[in-house]
Amino acid sequence: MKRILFSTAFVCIMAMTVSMLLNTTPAETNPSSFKGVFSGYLSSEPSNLDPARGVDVNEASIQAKVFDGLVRYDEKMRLVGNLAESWTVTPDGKELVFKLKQNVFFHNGQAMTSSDVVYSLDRILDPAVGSPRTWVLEKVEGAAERLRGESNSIAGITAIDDYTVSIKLSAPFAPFLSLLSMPACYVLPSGNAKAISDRSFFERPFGTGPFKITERVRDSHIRLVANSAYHGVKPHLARMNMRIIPENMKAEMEFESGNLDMLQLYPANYERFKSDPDFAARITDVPSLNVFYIGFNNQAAPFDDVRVRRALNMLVDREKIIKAVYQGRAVAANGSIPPGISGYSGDSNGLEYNPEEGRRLLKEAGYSKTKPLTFDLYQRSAQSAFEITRLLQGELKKHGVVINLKPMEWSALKDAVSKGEAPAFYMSWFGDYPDGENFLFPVFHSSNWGSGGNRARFKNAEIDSMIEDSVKIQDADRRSEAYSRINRKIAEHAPWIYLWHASESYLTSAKVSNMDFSPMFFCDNALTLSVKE
Amino acid sequence: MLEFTLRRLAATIPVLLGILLISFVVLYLIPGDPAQTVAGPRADAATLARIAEEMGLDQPLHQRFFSYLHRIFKGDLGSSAVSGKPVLDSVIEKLPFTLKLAALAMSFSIVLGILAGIISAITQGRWLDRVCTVFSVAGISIPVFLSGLVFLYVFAVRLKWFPSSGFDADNSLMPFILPAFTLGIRSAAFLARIVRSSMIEVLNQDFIRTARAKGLSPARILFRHGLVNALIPVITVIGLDLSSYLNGSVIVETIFDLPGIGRFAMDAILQRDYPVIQGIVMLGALVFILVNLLVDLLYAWINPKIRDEMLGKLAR
Repeated sequence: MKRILFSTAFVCIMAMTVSMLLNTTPAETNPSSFKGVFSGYLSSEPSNLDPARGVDVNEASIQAKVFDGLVRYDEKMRLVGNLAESWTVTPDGKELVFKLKQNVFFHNGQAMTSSDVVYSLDRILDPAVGSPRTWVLEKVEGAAERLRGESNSIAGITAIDDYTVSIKLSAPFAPFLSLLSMPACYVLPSGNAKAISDRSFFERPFGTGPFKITERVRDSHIRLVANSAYHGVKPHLARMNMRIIPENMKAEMEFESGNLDMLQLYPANYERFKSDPDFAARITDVPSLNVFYIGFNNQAAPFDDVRVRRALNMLVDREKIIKAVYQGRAVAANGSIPPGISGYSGDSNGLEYNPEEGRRLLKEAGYSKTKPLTFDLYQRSAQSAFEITRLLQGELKKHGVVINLKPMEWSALKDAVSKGEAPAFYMSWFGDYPDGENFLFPVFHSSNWGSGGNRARFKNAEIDSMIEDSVKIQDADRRSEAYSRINRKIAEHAPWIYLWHASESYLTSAKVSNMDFSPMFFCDNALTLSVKE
Repeated sequence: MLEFTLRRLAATIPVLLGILLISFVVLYLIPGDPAQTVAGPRADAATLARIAEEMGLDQPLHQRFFSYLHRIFKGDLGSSAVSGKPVLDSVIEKLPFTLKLAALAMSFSIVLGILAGIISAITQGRWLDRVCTVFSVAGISIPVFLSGLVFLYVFAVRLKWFPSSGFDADNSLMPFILPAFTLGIRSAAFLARIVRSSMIEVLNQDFIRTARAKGLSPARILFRHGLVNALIPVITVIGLDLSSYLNGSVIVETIFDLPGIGRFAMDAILQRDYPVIQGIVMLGALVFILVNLLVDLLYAWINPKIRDEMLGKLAR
């Protein structure tokens, strides 16, 4: 009997194995005028393909290919019409009127009209949706009432006719067009409102974008095929296979065995590929819209003293760290605004590496060898964070500053910083939209203290009103100059140690050409990309 | 046997309740605001409050626990806070990957482990035993993330014998062989050690000598009398391994790109997706409890003495 038992168990396991063979997948049709298959990957599952709910880079990179917004940034980072053919802004800057393209169709064949636009934008503020992106439309007339559930539609967004949409703002806000390019504002088919509201639509959503999703297996892959009815310049590619590969080393192996057409590089493998002539020519360094910084709690000692904050800025040799950690693939920051968008300027901010002046300021603030400046630096307990903070710790120690590292899990860190418990913290800010305002208002306006983005608890009435005035300027060049002045003015107060703007590096396979490496993650809709067959 | 089964079943209920309570409280104590995770970095206080309310985070702890229990008993594991998809649906979607992996890994582990254990036991002290020992010590000591990457590199990337991921796994077992081997080799090594020592112990007992004296064939002695009597500790190990495989193997699933339960759980933890974490912990606990129950029943069946001990009948 016991032998039977043993062999039964074994047979059961074998039977289980065999019975679990699954069905084959249906064959995909390949549009004849499109050529090539791009094999890419995402570093995590895009859990939310709902534009109103997504907050993450991987989600946006799929959404950008499936959906369209009224406007978008092209591969040269110029704001251009997308679903909107043209638009006008009234002289007071408070009303935008969009003329929509005609003959635009969703992937299921429905025509796209202004009611879809109104529906999609209204959804962001619909309290039942609970969108994390309500702030995108907060400047629209009637936004607050809609969000509080006091009205069933947003007063400021109306369809004038089938192909004209008007958006009224409660106050002039020039960066609004930039916000409209964000994934949150992508247009959904209002005819599918029921499936959208119960969220089943987002298992395999469709929009008007250049690619359609044909297959999706969570945590495994998403397959896309070119939309032959696309309203704009059509994509070159026939198909895209986007796999989910969370492990960098795995992605590297897959790339080297020819299974991937693109690989994101990290400091750990950058040197190796860069020094190999086979690969070096195919590496692209992309300046990305971010700023890395050591934030101070500006309201509490010792960092309520501007001399201490300025001194620490002057004691950090940014170029040295950029060379050591980033192999030079970063630009030293002289403010919060990164190169490539409005408001950036390479001018000096008076906080450059200057150890003599830094030590003098520290002395003036009352610190010495016997009474050294000592503080806790909160950070993520990740290797990438330690690489930076340990270097900073060592560098500053030479100047008599003692840093205790406080590594924490990410959520706990955000919590501690938002509540003002961290005297100093190593963090970064990545842009949500490519306008200089995105690196000023959220991070330094006093209305955004804590989780709103102003983690340094910086408060300055003059800066607040300068920021408020700048967004009223419709002329792009003049607005950019205003941002630049504010950026410089904030640097006088040194609310952070400005560190750098890091680039991202990608390696592509020999088959790939014209890949659009946009500094803004959601701007790449793969229109220009081609892959040799 | 029926009394034993019923008693054993009844004993699982407080265990399950305890696990639910502990997982609930631990999640509550972890720092980081789940509403903030769902809302993203720029959400204002009103949005956060609204999301917190939707997620039931504004209610007192005990109330949240009881409403959670209530839902569980109705068979509703809730929906993901991130994607809105019902937890049970997601689990069912991912189960085939984890089951295939577990079944294959178990097969590798049992075949290799028991075979190596028996060879070691009968060649005790000779070179074949030493070779088996070296391999099993290596198998136990080398961490899965290392052996996984090495196998991947050698067999998938260099030799191209196997696909390197479960990406095209729909119609083939091939993508599961390497990960299952990675996973199975470790417990095979462990199993080999256990089988070896319990076989040696059994083979030195009097009844084996009696069997030999009776003139039974060596194979019959080995399998009919030796192996079966050495099975108890082996079943324990197999049971534990099976439970942990069925709960998903985060590292192997990540390295080999298999969208199974382990990665699903890991993603949920990183995203503070409470309903998913709770659902998976509960199902995972259930799997452990059921497999343990099965193991206990097997013990009792193989060896009635154990059953009587557990029922306290021997004392009577």
